Amino acid sequence: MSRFMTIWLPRWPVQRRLVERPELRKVPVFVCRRERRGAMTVVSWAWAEPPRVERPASPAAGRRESATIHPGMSLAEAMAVLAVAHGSRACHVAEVNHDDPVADRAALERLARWCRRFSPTVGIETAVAASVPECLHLDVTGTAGFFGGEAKLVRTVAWTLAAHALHARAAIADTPAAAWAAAHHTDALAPSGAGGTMMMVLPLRQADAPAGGVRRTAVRRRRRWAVVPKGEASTLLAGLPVVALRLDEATATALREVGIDSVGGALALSSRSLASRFPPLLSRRIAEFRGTLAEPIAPPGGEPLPQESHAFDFPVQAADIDEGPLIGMIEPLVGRCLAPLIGRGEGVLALQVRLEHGPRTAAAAPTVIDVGLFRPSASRTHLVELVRLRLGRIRPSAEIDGIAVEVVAAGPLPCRQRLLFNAGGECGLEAADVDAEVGMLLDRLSGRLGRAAVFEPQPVGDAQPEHAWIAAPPRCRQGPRPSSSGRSPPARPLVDGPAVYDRAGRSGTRGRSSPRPVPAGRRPIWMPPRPLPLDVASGRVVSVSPDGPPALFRLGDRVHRVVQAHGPERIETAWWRGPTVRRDYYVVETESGERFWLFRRLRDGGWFLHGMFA
Amino acid sequence: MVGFGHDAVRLAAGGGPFPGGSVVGGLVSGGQLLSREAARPVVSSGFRGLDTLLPAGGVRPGSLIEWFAGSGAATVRDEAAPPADDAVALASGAASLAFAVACRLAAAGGGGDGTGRPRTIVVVDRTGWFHPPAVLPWLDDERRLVVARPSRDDDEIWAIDQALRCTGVAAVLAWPRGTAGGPRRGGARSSGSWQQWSTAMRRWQLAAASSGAVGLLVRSAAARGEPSWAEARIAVSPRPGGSLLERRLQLALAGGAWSAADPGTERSAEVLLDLARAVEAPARHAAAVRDREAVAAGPARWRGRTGERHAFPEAGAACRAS
Repeated sequence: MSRFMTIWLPRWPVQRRLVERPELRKVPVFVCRRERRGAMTVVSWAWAEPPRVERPASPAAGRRESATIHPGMSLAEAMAVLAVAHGSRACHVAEVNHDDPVADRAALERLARWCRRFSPTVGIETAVAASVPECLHLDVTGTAGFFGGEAKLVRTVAWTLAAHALHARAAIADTPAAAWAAAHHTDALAPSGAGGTMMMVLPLRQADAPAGGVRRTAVRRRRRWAVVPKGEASTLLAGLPVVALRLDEATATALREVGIDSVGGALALSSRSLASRFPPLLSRRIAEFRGTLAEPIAPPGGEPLPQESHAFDFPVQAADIDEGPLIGMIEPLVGRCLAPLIGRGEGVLALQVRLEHGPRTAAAAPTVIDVGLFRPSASRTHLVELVRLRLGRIRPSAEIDGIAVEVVAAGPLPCRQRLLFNAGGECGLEAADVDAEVGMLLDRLSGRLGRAAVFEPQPVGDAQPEHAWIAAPPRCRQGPRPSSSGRSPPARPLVDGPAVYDRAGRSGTRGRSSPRPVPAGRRPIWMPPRPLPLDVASGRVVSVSPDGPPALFRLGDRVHRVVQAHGPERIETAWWRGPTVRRDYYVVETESGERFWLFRRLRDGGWFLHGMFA
Repeated sequence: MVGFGHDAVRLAAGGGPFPGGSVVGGLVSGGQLLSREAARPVVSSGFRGLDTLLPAGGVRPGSLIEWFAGSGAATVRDEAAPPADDAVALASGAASLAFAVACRLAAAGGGGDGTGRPRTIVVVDRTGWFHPPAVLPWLDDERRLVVARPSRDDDEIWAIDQALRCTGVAAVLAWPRGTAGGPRRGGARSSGSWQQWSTAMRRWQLAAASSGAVGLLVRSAAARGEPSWAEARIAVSPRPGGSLLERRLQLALAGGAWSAADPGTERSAEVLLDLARAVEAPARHAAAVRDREAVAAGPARWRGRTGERHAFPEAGAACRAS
């Protein structure tokens, strides 16, 4: 018989934020959703460490006990409740965050992966219609023995999570549905007997049960775990309220209308009346509770990225070992990392190779080789080649204890059918082939030269020539581009560039993504990193008029006489960018036909060489 | 020319069944190389004057072309000279013309047949002086520019080799210094030997021949005496008188490994480069400019390798507002 554990993380959106920012534990935290008309609705809230109550017997303390904020309340209403319970100061210090279901789910998936230490099958709950799941289901069939029994396992889970500042409740039962119900009502369950594994539902008297449905024990200490023995879920959990069956509000209301407010009452209904009188959700939930309908545990969305390592029997001196043997050891590790990825149709986007140094060496931190790719690759030879390029530059000096290869990022691999015989010859390469070749070239270049040294320049709308472009990382082109023989290429957006420079009648779409494209032919192809000063005082620049272009200037040992000058083109930068740049640029042509780009700094009249039309 | 034996070698080498596809194993017979080169159609450079100079009547895919910037007046400068001095001889329009040819190569074929034409231009910029906004207006959405900035000389040689080896690259533009010439980032560097330079260039030539990419190497005129594996060596010297968006360039064939040209039989041509579109300007513009130059009565300033220019016309500064 299967056994399932459910870990409930109450108010997970708030808990996640508290883990990320522990300083928020001292203030009330609201996670709100912005509704259509601007109203804020509370999704979840918590105050992890409210201030101690000085006088517990005071009337205010009594009000605090009754301060309850339900999800779905508007933020203003919740603030009012909070102010009544804790005073208006609590409202002032309250932290209000927008909800982020994607981040919440991603964090829960990370936690699910972490929980694989308890069971190989971990999944996030899918049955509850709530936007943010708060529960993890674990198939603990047969794994409890490794932890000394189910009671010890469930206790270990609760306290291990508590050590990570996570408040969790856990329960083990025959079905995920029963475990869910038990985990949400661990307070209502108490140990019975010395073994500690038997749990009993406290005798519930419906009359004095509070709105929560379960009578609180006299001791205020809350239990965080519960174990429902095999085959006893229906009897032990019968006293729980019907919402423990994971029903929506409409179904629960329908049940209450006929006087059924406990799980036991719902389970006692005949299946025929279920189908005819209640929504189908109820019969499904009951079937899941009984175990007659299997509830699969879906693993979290992203599979863990593969990771392989190899430990040497003896530490190896890096100076003694050549590059070849190291690569020879790295290559099978890369191959083993690739195997699961290929099965999922994915390729490596980033790979990390770590050369672990032993504790005896001074360099305790491993030597890390990070390899990034511009498009996913599943080629072992390509990846190993990239590692080899980097390894040739990073030679570790300390002794090596082991090698670890980890896939840091993966992406979907473009998959397509290849032709066995391509009659087109060299020119018949498909577009995807060409893109793949260029992608591999970019990987190799950036692997050896550095990732910042390989780029695709993109124009930006900046008047200052030095900042008129940015070095963007090369684009990864996925899949074949639409050819003109097929459908027409997408229309390029019109760019409102100045057409005054373009006497050739070319349309104003020259700067591809720039709102203000650089006019064609007006910029030098070579530009020194910083303007080269032309010394005026020593007569290296002679200008006819104080505001005119230079007539003569000297560069090195050559004197250049200017026969033609175009300009000035005044370039000024905005004051908020720092030091203001005010320059008058001239394109000057010397008597030998060479063209330079000079500017006069308007601040002091100094001349500079800023480019060559090479 | 390719018999059964060649095919067997190719398949054994692990290459695809494409004639001219990338052969991974690197095992290529000479006959294959020759047949592959013969199968490649010669692409017009887009400049009529340049086409007449090139041995094949155009740019042959899988070849190297050297461009010598500046006139022969530039001599080998000492290593301690500031980089600007070297750059002076290079403000001649050779790089612009080479990039215009690269744009033409990247657009060759049009891609209308649905096949993947190489459309990538790789610039290996050892100097760090390359200013992309000058050429970005020449590129359209189809063509792609990738810039690599190696910081060491051996990295530069390797990067050019890798880029030329890639079948997805249309043209590789670089300004390697070789044994002399060219601005350098970081000041002086150790002078490489001719042997090393010749070896590197042979590697590039073989890499280009294996992939079909074209290597366009812009170099200082001081490097004209060095050994070369380029199919053509073109000396580019500017002529004054063009408008702001036009550049008049005098080209001269300065030898080449494949043409075995005699240095004494240099041929020359003139092109008018339209800087707005990176194409040859219409002929009427050229004629007008030529007429204007005739009026100016300027002597022919390009005098070959040893030509020197001391005839400075006493022309004042002509300021023209754009």
